[in-house]
Amino acid sequence: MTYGKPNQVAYVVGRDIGAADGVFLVKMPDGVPQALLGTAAIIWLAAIDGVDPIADLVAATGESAEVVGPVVAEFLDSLVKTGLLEVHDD
Amino acid sequence: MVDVELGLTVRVHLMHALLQFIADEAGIDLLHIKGPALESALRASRPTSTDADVLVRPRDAELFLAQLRRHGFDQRTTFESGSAFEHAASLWHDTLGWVDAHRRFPGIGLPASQAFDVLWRDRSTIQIAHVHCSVPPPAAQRLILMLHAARGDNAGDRQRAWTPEFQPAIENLAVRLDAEVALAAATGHLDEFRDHPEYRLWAHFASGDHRRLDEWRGRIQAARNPAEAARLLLRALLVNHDHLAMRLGRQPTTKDLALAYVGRARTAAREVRHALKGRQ
Repeated sequence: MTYGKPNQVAYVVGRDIGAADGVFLVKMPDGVPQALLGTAAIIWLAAIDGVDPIADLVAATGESAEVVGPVVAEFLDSLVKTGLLEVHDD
Repeated sequence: MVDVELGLTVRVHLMHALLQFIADEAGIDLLHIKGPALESALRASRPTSTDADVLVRPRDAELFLAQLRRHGFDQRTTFESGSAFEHAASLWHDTLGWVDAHRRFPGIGLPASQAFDVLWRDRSTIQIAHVHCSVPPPAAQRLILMLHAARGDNAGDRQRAWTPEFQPAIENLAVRLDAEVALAAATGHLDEFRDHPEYRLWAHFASGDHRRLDEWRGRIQAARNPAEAARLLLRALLVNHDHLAMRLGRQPTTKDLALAYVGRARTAAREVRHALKGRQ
């Protein structure tokens, strides 16, 4: 299973446009803008790039997959439920 | 996810994307102008945009406003009340801020629908907030900044846009769009158009003197026919309800309107006295 960015989601990476650090996104046309900061931003960006966010975070933090896996999975699930991420069946 | 105050730059980027999404849903053609829609050379060291500016295909302009209202935008001015040029409507979005929806651009004399076609034909596509958005071609981006600069003090825009390598293309486009007088005002060559009906209007803006009497005189003189001149003359005397509401932060009462009307009449009288004194 991989993830992708839904077409209805617009986003900016703050640093790319000279704004605050983080990812700022909105589900169009009627969603409320959200900010993903720190690890949350890293997970979302990895997910829409088709990278396994859990493996990515394990590599970045040195934590074990057993520790970060459930937390990340829960976060990804919440992003899918709010329409900020979509699941691609491989 | 964190509920935070979004910075201005972030809001303007997301707003452009949202406007494009809503236009796409309704099959409306939209060109993104200014702010993040500009080429990087034109954006450099430019102050952050405080709103998102778009130019909508004129025949769909009212439909576009209706779509925006349907998605929670609060329309604060109509095209007619938005400015003396009646070119843009202002709308407010509670989380993303201001939009200026243009149906034409002041300084372009070609009928709005034909002018849009010219700009649309040579458009290119960029991504704003990772959404595909159409933008005018490079010479048109520069011409629009120049025409905007002709109405105010935007020396920085003038400097960035009016570069030698683009000047021939900008001038050619200005001819195609019947925008030579306003461009001349921006480049300091307005005297070449001294006999043109629009001369007085652009001379007023170029002078930096913002008395309304001169602006209205210039606009009436530049009117394309007597009916338009008569309509402008009438408008010059009326209080702009939408602007008054924006200034007060609430709907104006009858008393507010009456006071504003008296204020407008006094200003006009003062300007007339000033004009007469200038002639003595």
